[in-house]
Amino acid sequence: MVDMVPPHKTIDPIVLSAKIILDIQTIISRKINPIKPAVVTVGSIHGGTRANVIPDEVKMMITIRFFEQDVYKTIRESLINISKGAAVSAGLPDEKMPRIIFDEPLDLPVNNDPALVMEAVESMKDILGEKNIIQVDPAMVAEDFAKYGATEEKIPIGLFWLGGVATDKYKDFENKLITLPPLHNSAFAPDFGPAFKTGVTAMSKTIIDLFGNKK
Amino acid sequence: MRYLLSISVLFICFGGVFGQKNTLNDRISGSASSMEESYRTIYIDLHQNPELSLMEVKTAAKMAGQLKNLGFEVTTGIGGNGVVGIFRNGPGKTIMLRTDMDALPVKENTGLAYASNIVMKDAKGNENPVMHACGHDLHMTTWLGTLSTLVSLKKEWKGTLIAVGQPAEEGTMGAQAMLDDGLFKKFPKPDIALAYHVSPELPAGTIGYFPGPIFAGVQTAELTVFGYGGHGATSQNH
Repeated sequence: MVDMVPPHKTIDPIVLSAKIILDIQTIISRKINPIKPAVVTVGSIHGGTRANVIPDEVKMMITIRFFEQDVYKTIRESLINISKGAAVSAGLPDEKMPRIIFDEPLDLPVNNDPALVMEAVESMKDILGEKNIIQVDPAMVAEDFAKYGATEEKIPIGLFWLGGVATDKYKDFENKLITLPPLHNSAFAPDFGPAFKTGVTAMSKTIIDLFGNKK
Repeated sequence: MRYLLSISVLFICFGGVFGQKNTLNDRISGSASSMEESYRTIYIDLHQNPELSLMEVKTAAKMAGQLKNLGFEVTTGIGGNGVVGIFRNGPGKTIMLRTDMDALPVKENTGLAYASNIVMKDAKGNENPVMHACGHDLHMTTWLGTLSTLVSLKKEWKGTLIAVGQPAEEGTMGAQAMLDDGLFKKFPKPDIALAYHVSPELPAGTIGYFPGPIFAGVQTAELTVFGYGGHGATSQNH
């Protein structure tokens, strides 16, 4: 093993990355108010080429998800502090501090206008029945529809989920016989007929009512 | 006697109001049901011919053609492949209804008779199987069906309807590109903007809502951690 430098003569970025990743887990658990939903996931890590070579660098891809701006700021600052702090404690000089690049612009939360949504819900319930219009929890996915509500014009926006699961599949899912393929899955196949009719009926009614047809 | 008269007047009034309301609801529902089969053809065509983000050329042309047939003033090429349709129907509010149009580099494995076999080169020149794995085909078809219903029931409302066919939702570039290209400046500024996203969890026949932030803010970060590697005895010099 002549090619292997004595490990005490290196500063191993893989060990350092492991520390950073574990520390990142404390951002959500110890820095963010537990009633505020957020996610930090290290989804990709690459470093090194073979078992007996300690590499010069490790690259990670991290996704941050949030609903409130102050939560986002805390996560962003924590990522910078945690990675820098670990590098300093490992004895790395200034020019070897971790580099963190945040993708800009970030995807904004889809801030549905509560009054608009409830007005639409009233219309939708009127035409499709109370039981078919369901309040759901927010989801941690992104949608750039958010942008239309985030301009200087401050236009109220409303994004709705259109149910897509075929009734028989949904029953099997409820009976724990199957799992449902998520969005972006190669088996994702919404039930066109009922989803289309429901979507057209609910949105047409909503828009006519919003235009001021309410009698 | 007077009391009885009041009750009957009341009854007639409410009866009239309810009758009218039911009529409109019935007409909306009837329109949606009667369209199902012809729009299934549109849906299957879109499903079989998905296009990647920023490459939604044929899809955008189909949307523009459909909007023209419905009587919209149509502008294409807004923010890339974006399509904007305007339907003016007297004084009133301006309401925007948006669909996205792009598909994903996913090899379809639904087993459907109309599954996509499309392969496209991405921006880097790599060939990718392409699938509407995020349901934008359903978004487009529902969007067209809604617009068609609103046009056929145009005596029931007054205002301006803005139909937005947005490119590149995946990768979240298209909305910003359309806004940067003057969506709210070159066209009537909407008072309200609405959209659907198909749910992979809620049964067909239902709608899900949340009166507040429904989808999250997202940012990706790339973190590079440096060290001193072990390439030879020189590493002790650090």
